[in-house]
Amino acid sequence: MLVISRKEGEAVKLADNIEVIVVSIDGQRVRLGIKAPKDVKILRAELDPTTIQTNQKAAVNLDDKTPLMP
Amino acid sequence: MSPSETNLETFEKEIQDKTILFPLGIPGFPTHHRFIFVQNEERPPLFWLQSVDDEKLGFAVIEAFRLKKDYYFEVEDTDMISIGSPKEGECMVYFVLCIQDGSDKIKGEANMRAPIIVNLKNKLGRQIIIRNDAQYSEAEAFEI
Repeated sequence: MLVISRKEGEAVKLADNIEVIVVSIDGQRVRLGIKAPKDVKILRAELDPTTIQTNQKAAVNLDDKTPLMP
Repeated sequence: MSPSETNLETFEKEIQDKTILFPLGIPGFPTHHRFIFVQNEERPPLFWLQSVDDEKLGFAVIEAFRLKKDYYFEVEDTDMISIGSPKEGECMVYFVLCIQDGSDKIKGEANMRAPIIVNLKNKLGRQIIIRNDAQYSEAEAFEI
C-alpha cells in the first residue's frame, strides 16, 4: 500500500483521470473531494442512496417490533 | 471468506451483547455509532443489531453464511481501513434484513450488496458495498 501525506488543498492523482483533493481537515475528520469520470463508481455505503433507503426500510422500533419509518 | 460452522458459533457468542463501534454510523442513521448484537428470542438464527444511543432503534440481521452458504464477496482495502483492516477469520459478516410478517417461516429480503462487517479484534463495524456488487442485490428474497 502506498502511503503519502497531503496538506489541506493538496491533491493526489490516480491514473489519468481521477483526482482526490483534501478539501479540509478538522481534527480527526478529513473531507475529500473526488474528481472522476461518470463511469467510475465511488462505492461508499454511507453516501449510497440505495443502501440508505434499504436501511431506513429495514429499521425496526424495538418497543413493538414494527417498522420505524412508515 | 467463509468461516467454518463451529467457528461461527464461537464468534457469535463472542460478539453478543458487546458494544460494537460504527465510526461512520449506519448509512441512513449517521448519528448512531454504538450498537450491540442481541439474540432475537422469537427467531433464533436472527439477531437484533440494537442502537446503544437509542434503544428503540434496531435492525434484524443474520450472519451472512448462515443465510447463504456460498456467499462470495470482495471488499476494497480502503473501506476496510476504517475498521482496522481485519484479516480473514477476524471478522463477522451480517446481512440487514427486511422481514415480512404473518408466516411461520422467516421470510423477507436480505441486503447482500452491502453487508455489515465487524472486526472481532477491535469491535469496529461498518456497512460496506461489496466490490462484486453486480452479483447480489440489496433485496435478495429469502425464506428460512
